[in-house]
Amino acid sequence: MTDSSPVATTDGPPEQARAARQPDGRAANNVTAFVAANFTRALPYILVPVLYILSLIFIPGYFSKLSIISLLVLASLLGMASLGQTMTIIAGGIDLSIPSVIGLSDIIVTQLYYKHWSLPLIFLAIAGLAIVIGTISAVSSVVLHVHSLITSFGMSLVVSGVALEMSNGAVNGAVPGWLTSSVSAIGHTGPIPIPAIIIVWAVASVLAVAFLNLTRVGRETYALGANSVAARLAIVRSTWTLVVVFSISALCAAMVGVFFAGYSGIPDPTVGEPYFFLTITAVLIGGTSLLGGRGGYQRTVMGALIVAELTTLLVGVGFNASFQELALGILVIALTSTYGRELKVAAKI
Amino acid sequence: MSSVDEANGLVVVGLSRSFGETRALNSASLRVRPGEIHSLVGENGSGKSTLIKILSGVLRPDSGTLTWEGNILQFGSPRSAQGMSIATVFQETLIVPEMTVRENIYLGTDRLFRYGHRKGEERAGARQALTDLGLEGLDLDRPMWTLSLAERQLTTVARAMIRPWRLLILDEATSALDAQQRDRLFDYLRLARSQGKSVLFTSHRMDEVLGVADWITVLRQGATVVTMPASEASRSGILGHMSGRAEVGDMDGAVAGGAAGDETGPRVGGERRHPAPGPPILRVEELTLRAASKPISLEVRSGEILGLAGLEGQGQVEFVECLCGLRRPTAGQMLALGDGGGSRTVRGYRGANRLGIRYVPRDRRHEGLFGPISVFDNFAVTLWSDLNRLGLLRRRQAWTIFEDFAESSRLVSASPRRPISILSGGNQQKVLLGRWIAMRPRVLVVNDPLRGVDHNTKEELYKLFRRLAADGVAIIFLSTEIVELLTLTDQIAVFHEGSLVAMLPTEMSSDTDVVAAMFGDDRHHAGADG
Amino acid sequence: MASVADRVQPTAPLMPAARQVLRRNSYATVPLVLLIVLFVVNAAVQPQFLAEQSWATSMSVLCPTVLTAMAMTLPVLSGNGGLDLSVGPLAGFMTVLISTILVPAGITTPVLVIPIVVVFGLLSGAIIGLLVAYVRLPAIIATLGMYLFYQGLGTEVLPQAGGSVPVWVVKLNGSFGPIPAVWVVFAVIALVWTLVSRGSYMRNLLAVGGDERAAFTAGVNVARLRLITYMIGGILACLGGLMLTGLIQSGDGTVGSPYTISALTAVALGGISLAGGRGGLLGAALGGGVLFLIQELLTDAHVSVYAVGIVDGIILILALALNGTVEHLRRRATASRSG
Repeated sequence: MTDSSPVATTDGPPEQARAARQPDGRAANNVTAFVAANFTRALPYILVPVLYILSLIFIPGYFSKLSIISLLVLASLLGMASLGQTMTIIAGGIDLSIPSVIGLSDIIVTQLYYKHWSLPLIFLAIAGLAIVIGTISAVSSVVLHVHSLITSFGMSLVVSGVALEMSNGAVNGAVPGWLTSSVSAIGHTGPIPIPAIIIVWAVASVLAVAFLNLTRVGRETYALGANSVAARLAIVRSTWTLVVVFSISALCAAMVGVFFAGYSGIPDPTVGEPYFFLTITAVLIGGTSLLGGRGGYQRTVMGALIVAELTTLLVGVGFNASFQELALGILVIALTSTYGRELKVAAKI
Repeated sequence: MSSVDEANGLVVVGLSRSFGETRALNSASLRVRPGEIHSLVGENGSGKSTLIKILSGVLRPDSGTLTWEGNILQFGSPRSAQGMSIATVFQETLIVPEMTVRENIYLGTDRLFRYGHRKGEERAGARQALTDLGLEGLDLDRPMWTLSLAERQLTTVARAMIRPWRLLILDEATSALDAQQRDRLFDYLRLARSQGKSVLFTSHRMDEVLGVADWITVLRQGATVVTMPASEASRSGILGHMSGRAEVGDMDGAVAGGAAGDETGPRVGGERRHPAPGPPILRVEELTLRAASKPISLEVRSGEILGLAGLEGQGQVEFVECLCGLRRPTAGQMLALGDGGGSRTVRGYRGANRLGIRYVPRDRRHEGLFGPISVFDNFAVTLWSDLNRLGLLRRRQAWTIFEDFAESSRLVSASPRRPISILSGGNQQKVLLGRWIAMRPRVLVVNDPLRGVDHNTKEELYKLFRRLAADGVAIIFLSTEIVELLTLTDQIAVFHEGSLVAMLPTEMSSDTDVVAAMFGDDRHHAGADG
Repeated sequence: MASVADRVQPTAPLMPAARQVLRRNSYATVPLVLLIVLFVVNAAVQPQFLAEQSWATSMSVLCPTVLTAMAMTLPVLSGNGGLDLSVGPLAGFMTVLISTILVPAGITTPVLVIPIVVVFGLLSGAIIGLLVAYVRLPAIIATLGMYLFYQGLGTEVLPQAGGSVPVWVVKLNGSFGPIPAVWVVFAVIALVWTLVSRGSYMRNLLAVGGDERAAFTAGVNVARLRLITYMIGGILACLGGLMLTGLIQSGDGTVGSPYTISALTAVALGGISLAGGRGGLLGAALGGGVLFLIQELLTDAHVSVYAVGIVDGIILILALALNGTVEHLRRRATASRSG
């Protein structure tokens, strides 16, 4: 592109050179352009309160602690599921195996708990499996020179098959009581009158943002997504980074599966299916680009809140599931038209 | 007669274009008459590329008038520009790799469902255009991805040639061509000129500008500084206009001694300006690049700047890739020599890095830049492996290193937190070099780092390299510009057909010597060690 | 330049033309081999497979899969992340449209129904094409939105499967004597497509998919080409929906979504590059066939329904691995020549 500042003088004291690096004040009459550009970037943050206010207007009796908590529970589940997805997208990939891992995790928790396995062991098993699944998606993508969209999709077929096989006929399952209350709107976390899942999400969000900004793997994730060739030459650990983000994604999906088990209590391998597209939707609505190399989890948090609010609003106004889906489709397109547009071909030259 | 001339041709008045807060073009003007070859010169950031993009239909201007052949232009796509008989060869060689040569040449000539030309016409036209460019033997059915960079660039030129153009725009179209190919192209341009057509070309090479153009327009900071007939132009005069200084003579660390202002005679290498090299730190033993080439053996010493030269595709790039571990040679090995006399074999890219051999790739856009990522992060990406405590980054330290580097290399950047894509090419290159310099290399291998970099930045980078050499870093400097090699290096290794054919001491060589060696002239016989 | 055509005699021997066709379709080699191998194995394991009855049934089941795969192929070929996730629900919505909207309104004759179906596909594709090419939404989002839209619309209009379909639609899945009617459908499509692909559309599509900047700067109207592409894809998806209606002989708003996944799988199995620029409708047909035969094989082997999913996944990864490795080797060859 073009220079954004005048040519620096080659003589003169260093302060002058440093001053030359400050933003140039002659920004002409492009204030409107500036506002426009940043408006679209800030839109997800603006939409969250706007949608909430709309819900208050259109749904009678919406303003209550219960409804806020329910909303947050919904958002937490989606937000957790989308955590790893955000990272895989920033890394230039995508994880389509999230719904099947959710289902598998749901099955394993309910069935093993029913068989009286100890909880720590169950969680260890699930975590271990999740890491294996994520690693296979990542490593096969690198080794086979194929986009992770494909490998994670393939893994999702495998994992769904396993989950279905495991649940074949078995309707017996059980979950610990505290798990059920962790996703219930009236649940408590110790003395705090908030279900555990919201707190878990809050903590996870902080960790995720810190991870992406303050750790080596986090920064390398951005580099990998921005330009994988340059990343390799800049001795970024491409394979390791992919393994880490895909493992995180699978772990988050597994965690969501455990929470879902708390929701229903019975083994259901298909419980994650709505999340096939919802996680991508949350990430994209939040403003993280599918191109990779940019965005962040704070945006996905907004995205998850927006999707949860939209769903709640639609249900509250009386739309059934079908209409919700229909409306969600339109809204996804409408919202992304404002801030998710790609570059013109001409701009890429 | 002259009023007809005035009405025809290209007239650009008061052209302006901004990108957000940046004013790329500030009321620029240009005039190209029929039967005229016009050269547009300017540094990176001068607005040259924006002007070209507007003329070729890729961008629309914010304001100003464009008149071509008496008609006011208002197009917004390359297709409509072509409809006005304006053909453009773009700076970036844009081809469809999977399609054949013929298909690439005739790309864009079709309607939605109907072909623009019959197959026979296409074959004939493509054959004719390639012959005019010196590629008469090129198989039209070869897929583009099998062609070399120069052949690809010539194919894009052929693409313009087969159109019925009356204005041809060439944006750095000779960057990948060797001397012979360039001459053929200029012959074609001169022929077109005699037929009353107009040519507008941009180039960083003064010899092209002064040798081929009839008129020269200089742009600086988005505005037209001067338009003059080539007969009245001089190298230093043009450079002066480009940079805003009256006269570009012997600045500190500038053009090689004896060459300033002298555009015609053979250029002679400058004096050494840094301390003598130290002990050898890299040894190449019997390195064979290709099956039929001769083994290469040489030593590079600490603080030495070794230049690599050669016509396109003669092996110097392969040599560079072997040195940094990206490519395994057919035979032979490279050894990194330690202070205590030990030696380690260079194996693989990461292995080379561990031995202190750092590589700066040629293609900024595809191999170097992380576009949407900030300037700072582009710089610091290589630092993270060291500057971390259990995975947590030590950002403050990284910032200090960045500030120091920006200071010493006079990096001009509005804000280092903004995406690197907003910087000019020269500044981007500084950041990319900084990325590797910050890692304290022992050997720095650079692949044509000054390509597409404006004059001032070049000077600054020459200083940067000399400082590095003074610190004991060995620099292996591949360049396609002989001037750069003569300015900066201690020795020049010339490649021909995969073998090292000459090792020229820079102090005592002229560009004629280098060119002769590039063509395989036996005048300076290879074999002399480092 | 004007006299060039006169100067050199355009001899245009046959060999380069044949060579070009072969080269254009060389991507289909692996899927073709796979198809033949699977066919033989299937016939060996289950001889009834070759019987006339099962032939016709197989073809009928295969038809919507292949048509939706073709609908997915063209956007994929256009590159820049092009694809059409809505092909499944769009096809599924056709079953609802025909059984629940057209039939009750008395619109049952082929003369009316077929054009309506085609126009619907055209319009649906046009909307997507406008969103992708002019509004410049990423295709995955635009078609995701449409996917959800058609899913919701289908289940909203027809919450429970039901409704009746015209007899001729069902007949489309029957036979004319020994020939399954589906063959005729395929033949017609193949004929139309051959005519279209002899023109410049295909070449420009592959150019845009290969490098859209090269195509754009050379003068191709990239946006318009992509718009047309999604429109053709929409028509193909709706035709698939028509055949699907005859297959299930009713309306069902949920029946469509698996076809998106199978379309994507078939495209990948058919040797078509997901990055664009390489492939064709032949690949879609082959890929659909391969997918079908794999599932047949697994059913024959009495593999449990669930294990089918597992094997599907593994085969997908393997097929794409082959695809991906081939592409990688080509790209490496490309890079090494740019010295």
